[in-house]
Amino acid sequence: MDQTIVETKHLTKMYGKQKSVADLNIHVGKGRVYGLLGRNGAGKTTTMKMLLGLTPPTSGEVLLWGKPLHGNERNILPRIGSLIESPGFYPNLTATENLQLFEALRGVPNRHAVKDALDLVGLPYQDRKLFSQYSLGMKQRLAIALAIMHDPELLILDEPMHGLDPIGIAEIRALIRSLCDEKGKTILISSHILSEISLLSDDIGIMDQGILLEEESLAVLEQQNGKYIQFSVSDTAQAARILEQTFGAKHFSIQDDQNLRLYHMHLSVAEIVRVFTRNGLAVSAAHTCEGSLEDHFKQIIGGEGLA
Amino acid sequence: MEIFCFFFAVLALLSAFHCASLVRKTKKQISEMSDALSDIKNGNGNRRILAKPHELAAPLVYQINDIVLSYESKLSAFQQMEAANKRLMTSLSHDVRTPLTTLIGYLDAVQKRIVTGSAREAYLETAQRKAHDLKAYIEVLFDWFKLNSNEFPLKTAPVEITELTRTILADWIPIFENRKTAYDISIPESPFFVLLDPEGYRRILNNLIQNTVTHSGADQITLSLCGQEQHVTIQISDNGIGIKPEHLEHIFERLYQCDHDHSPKGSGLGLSIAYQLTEKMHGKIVAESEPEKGSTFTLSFLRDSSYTLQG
Repeated sequence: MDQTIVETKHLTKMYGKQKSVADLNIHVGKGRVYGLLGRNGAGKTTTMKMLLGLTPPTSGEVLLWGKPLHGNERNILPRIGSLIESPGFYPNLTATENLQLFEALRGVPNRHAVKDALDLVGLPYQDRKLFSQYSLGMKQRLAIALAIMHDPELLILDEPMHGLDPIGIAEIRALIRSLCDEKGKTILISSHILSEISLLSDDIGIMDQGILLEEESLAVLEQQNGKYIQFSVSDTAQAARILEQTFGAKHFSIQDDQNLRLYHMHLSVAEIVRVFTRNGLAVSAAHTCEGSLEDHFKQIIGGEGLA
Repeated sequence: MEIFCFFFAVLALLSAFHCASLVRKTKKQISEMSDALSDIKNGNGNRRILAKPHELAAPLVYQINDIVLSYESKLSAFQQMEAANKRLMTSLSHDVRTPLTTLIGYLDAVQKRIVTGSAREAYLETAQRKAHDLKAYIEVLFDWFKLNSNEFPLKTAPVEITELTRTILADWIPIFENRKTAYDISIPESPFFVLLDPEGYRRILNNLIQNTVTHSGADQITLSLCGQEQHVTIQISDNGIGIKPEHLEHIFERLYQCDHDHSPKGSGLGLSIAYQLTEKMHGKIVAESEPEKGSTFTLSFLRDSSYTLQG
């Protein structure tokens, strides 16, 4: 794997006796979209706050670009763009004026940064409308504009789709994807909506009650949760021929010398194995895989409420 | 007098402090810039140096960022291309392995005399068909690699397009008849001269028809050529399953495939090749479709002006 941008080591946060985040080890690779999935109160926001130094961990450590955050905040934080809850904008200023204020406070990489950021999120530049007159979705877009204005290498976005309409969600999703694919940014997002995470992320971390239950790439999860019947046979060539000739199968793929996957779920496994054996093939394994990602997550978290 | 002296002393002291703090600030900024630059030098093209617009160093910082950004975007375009090639290689090994193994299955069965008589003949025929499909698939791949390394030789010259189109379509007629697909071909008698590379045009047409035959499930195909004042348009329409609007805008992208249910065949390259070739010959290609009703691909090429008056 490439460079790890965000790493936590046994990160723990206690509020009184309540463990909000417990012994968390997450790894966000360079140039990937990492989706933190969990129900409300799972500890996602607390984790992100600790990554940004907004709240100190009770124990454990945050490493960003391989360096501990603690003690290096001044060098590290300007390289991150973040959206945690709603940032403080002045209600009596316009969007452009608000961003210009932050431009003068934090610094930007070029003269047209404010305009670029507004363009990217689809808000008008130098519009007269005051922030207080903005709709919830526009406020959210402005918050995203603020996060990306200084062209940071790492984006930490807490529930970035919050308050957006379906078209807005699709636009922001495309924006996040293109920041990653075309500009090579590393992005950490959180959401309690499974479809949101699975449409956008390369890697998924599932949190529940402050604990990281699983961390895996979406490609692997999808591979594990496809709908297919896998056969391990002595001769895949004959098996393929029999599937075509006897069962009229068209959708199958040969994985390697022994394994064949069939995507016709309605065919009877017992019947296929019988025909294979009759034709002198040794069948060492046959199993059906019929889980969806959703089932997988429900099974991991052990309850309803997601998706 | 003493008051003045005191005043000057204070002023001198203040400006000394100011200078010192300015120097300290600039020093810090330079050291930050130098840190960022060494990070960039080590290959992190995403790193930016930040400056507030009113700062002295701002123009310098902004220029450095511009330079880094322009190199970074070139590099990332290259990396995206590389990633696409890598994906292609992986899917390629799968796409070739399944039909090839199946083909071997048929030949083995014939050779071991598992089947005899007419079944044996049928097996050989199936094996042959699969071998041809594979060859076609590999040709598409070959085209794609050649196009992407700019090695596809295209020489546009005035070509008489009606006769050329007839020749290309003639090869498809047995295939249509084999598949019991009704076809309607209308090509005018009068000649039209168009700036084309004949081989490139053949590939475009073949890829478009192949795509229709493989994916549309149509039982009727209409092919028409029509000369206009400045253009010649070629339309390929079918009455098949059509393409959903969300897929339609992507179909000319490489490796884009509409059906994700592991359906066989299809490299996801044919239409992308047709598109790239058409662009290179300064033509246009447009796809329209209505789900469940059918799709229409329209090609248009510029007529050669020196022949337009006569034609």
